[in-house]
Amino acid sequence: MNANQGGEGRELGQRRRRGRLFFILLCFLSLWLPASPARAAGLGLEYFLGFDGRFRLGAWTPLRVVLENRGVPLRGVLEVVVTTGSEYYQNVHAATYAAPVDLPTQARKGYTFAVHIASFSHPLVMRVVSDGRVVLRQALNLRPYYVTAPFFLVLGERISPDLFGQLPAGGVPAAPSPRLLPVAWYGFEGVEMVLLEPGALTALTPDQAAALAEWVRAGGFVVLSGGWRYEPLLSPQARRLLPISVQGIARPSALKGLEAFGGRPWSGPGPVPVVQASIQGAELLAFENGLPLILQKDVGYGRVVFLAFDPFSPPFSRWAGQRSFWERVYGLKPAAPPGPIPLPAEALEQEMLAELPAGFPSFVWTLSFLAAYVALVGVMLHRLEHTRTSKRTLALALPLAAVVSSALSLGLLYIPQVSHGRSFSRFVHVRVPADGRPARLETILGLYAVRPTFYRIRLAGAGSPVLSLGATRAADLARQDEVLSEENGRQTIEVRLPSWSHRFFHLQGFVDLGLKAEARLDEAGLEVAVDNPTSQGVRGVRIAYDGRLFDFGDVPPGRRLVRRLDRARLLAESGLDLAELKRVEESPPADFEGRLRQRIERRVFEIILSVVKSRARPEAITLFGWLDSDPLSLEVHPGDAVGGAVRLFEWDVPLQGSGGGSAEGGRGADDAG
Amino acid sequence: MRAEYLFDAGGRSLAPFFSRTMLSLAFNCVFILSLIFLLFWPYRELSAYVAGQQTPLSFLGVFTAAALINGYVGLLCGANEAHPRDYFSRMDRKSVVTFEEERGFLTYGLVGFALHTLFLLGLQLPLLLAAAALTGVSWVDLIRALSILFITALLCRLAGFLSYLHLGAWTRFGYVTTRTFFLVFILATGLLLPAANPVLELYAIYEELPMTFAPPLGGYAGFLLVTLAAMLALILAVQTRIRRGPAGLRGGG
Repeated sequence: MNANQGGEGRELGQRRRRGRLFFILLCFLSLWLPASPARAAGLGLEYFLGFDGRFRLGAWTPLRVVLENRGVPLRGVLEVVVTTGSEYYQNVHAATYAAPVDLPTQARKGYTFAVHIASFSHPLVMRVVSDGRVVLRQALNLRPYYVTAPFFLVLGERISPDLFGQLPAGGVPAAPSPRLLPVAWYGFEGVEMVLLEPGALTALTPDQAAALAEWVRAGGFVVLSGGWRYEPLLSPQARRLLPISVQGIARPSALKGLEAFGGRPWSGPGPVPVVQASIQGAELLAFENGLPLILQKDVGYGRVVFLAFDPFSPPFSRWAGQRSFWERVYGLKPAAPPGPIPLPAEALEQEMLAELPAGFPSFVWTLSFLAAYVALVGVMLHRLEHTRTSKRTLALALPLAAVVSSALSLGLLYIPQVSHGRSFSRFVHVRVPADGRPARLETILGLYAVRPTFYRIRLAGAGSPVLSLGATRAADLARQDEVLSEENGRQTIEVRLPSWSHRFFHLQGFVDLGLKAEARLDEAGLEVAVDNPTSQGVRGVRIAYDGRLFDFGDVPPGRRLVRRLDRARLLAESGLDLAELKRVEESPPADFEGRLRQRIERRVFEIILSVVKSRARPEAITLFGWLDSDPLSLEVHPGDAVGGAVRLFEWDVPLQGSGGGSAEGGRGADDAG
Repeated sequence: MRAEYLFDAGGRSLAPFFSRTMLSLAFNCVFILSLIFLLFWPYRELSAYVAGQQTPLSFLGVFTAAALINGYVGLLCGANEAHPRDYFSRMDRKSVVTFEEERGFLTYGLVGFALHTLFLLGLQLPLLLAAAALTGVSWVDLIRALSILFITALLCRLAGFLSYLHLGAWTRFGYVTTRTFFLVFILATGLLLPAANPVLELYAIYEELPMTFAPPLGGYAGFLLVTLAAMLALILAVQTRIRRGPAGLRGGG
């Protein structure tokens, strides 16, 4: 009996102990649960990185994330975090690409990003944040997926893997699904060449077709093929890329015309379907009995090559000359356009940093003010010590003096200092090519904060790749990660700056300035005319000709300015030099934007002068000047941030040789436009 | 209104605001702080600080100095050591029972302590504002930093007064006790209880740190919690001691 009772007692004790243990475990669990990311029930994530799951290191690459919600409706933000840098160098930096998500129950939605991946040492993180909580998170180890060579994309439904072996060396062939292509033109940055079957065109969304066309305009290279199924060539997507007129299908028995192009005799059996097409302004590269086989057309900075036959099917795909053919086609890729004058970003950043609207109060004035205060306090305290009659009055005056001095200190020192604590500046460089192609724009945007500031910058449109530039103390970047997003066709950069810090961003884009210029060189000399039909002024234009720099002048809005430099002057003068540039400079302006402009213009012209002197180009002139208004407008929040911009344009103008106007040695003729 | 702590000429106040000694002490504080202000003036361009992502030291230097100076002055005033220190003056004051010992502490002594601390800080305020302006400290942080200075000085004064009540003025043990308290409050808490350390709190404001020095308490709230609790304890101890009778009558403790 006692033994039984003892056994029951032990069992009861054990149960109690188990109960306590369970209770303690529950307590620990309740502590742990809020710390771990809450996973929304029924939310799934699928991703497609790059092209065929690979991406080119150091280039923009597409990432498509598909979210599926089988749970309760969810609203939040989908974030893709790309981390670069090294823990060893303490320069780890993350860029977050964000898109708002709205997922009703049973919804499946795809979101396409263009992300810039510079290193594979950190995982790429995709996460859904709702109400400030991470409800879904997936990390991707990038190491197995990167390539360093550019991609050759082959887009189509009937692509044989054998084709990959025929493509030129030096590239990574990939055949991604058209629906996974980028929706931003710079998402194609890692691509060298796109081979496009017409059927693939219709699979592109309007955004993807626009991105592809924009990429070509920016310097991309597309090879578009024909064949039996030519209807897609008439689709809006194809028209966006290259307007083609199709008359029908011809069936020549052989493509002997390719022999010269490919360097091998034609060996394909049977008739070949060839689209009878014409492209306005295209250059004919190969033909068969008057039937165009290969046409090429320059579009912006890029090029589209049209193959009127189907290179992905027999008989072409059985031709022995395929390899040399594709090498020749790859050789048609346009060379990169001559770059703008090299302006070192670091030097510009330093100049921008050196000119900020905020400044410390004058040392002399502050010292005088504080010395006067200390002296006043000293005198009052001395009087207090020695007076017997007016002690109470002085005792009241002393705190009053402290209050008045504090108010002065607040109003003269503290408030101005704190209110000027946020500022930004921009350097815009627009390069206008000689042949009427769109002007390229590059912007360095600097943000500065004396006190902690959350900046939100909204660009006027979309399609500008935004990259963060390195900072002098890179270790601090880790706590300044930026968020890049796009909504309603406008790009947004959000970044939180701690006090006494700065950040620089690099933006690219294309603009149409609307200016016109012409230059004539004849026996009389050089005549340069600039038309400015726009509403923005152009200042301080200078002409770079044959290794020298000459003054041109200002072109006000709606005016035309003609300037002639006679032959004698062209032969004798050595042009502007640094000393002359400094002589014409005005006294330092009082306002921030004026000071910024003067500082950067001086530095930039020093660089321009040295570059111009080192490259004599007698066949063209280059105009350098400053734009009064911004070709790429942006909104900066907070609104009290003080901003300034300097906008350089660089314009290649081909020289015409016709005998034109009369030479008037160096005198400007200002004609109303 | 009883406000002998303002103009007491009879020498029965611990630290009368407008006595010759206290006025000279107040001036010395302002003067020393202005020298420290000059020492920590940012002699480079503002843009150089932004470019180098460095914060000017003005705020940290001047506010830390102000915390130390006001804390020590508070300690001296509370411990009845602010008066002339020559032998005869000491002997004279040993027999004096101060108003702060006689009267209700909450209604007289504490009010005088708080007002005198505010008075001293008020005289330094233009310098403090100028230093905060140079570092670009926000409004909120400025108010926090000023409150840290006030609390530090008041806490030291209370500790000094408690020491005076128990150990008397100018006793060796009292001297060691007050200085030990000061060292513990300013230095040792930095290692043992960072949330209670005024210098670390000022540093956290200067560096915009999230103030997680002491995770269990954390930041400015932690500082307030610890220092106000210590202050309450000191007030309670002082009040209890005063109810037992003036320390001066018992020959200093």
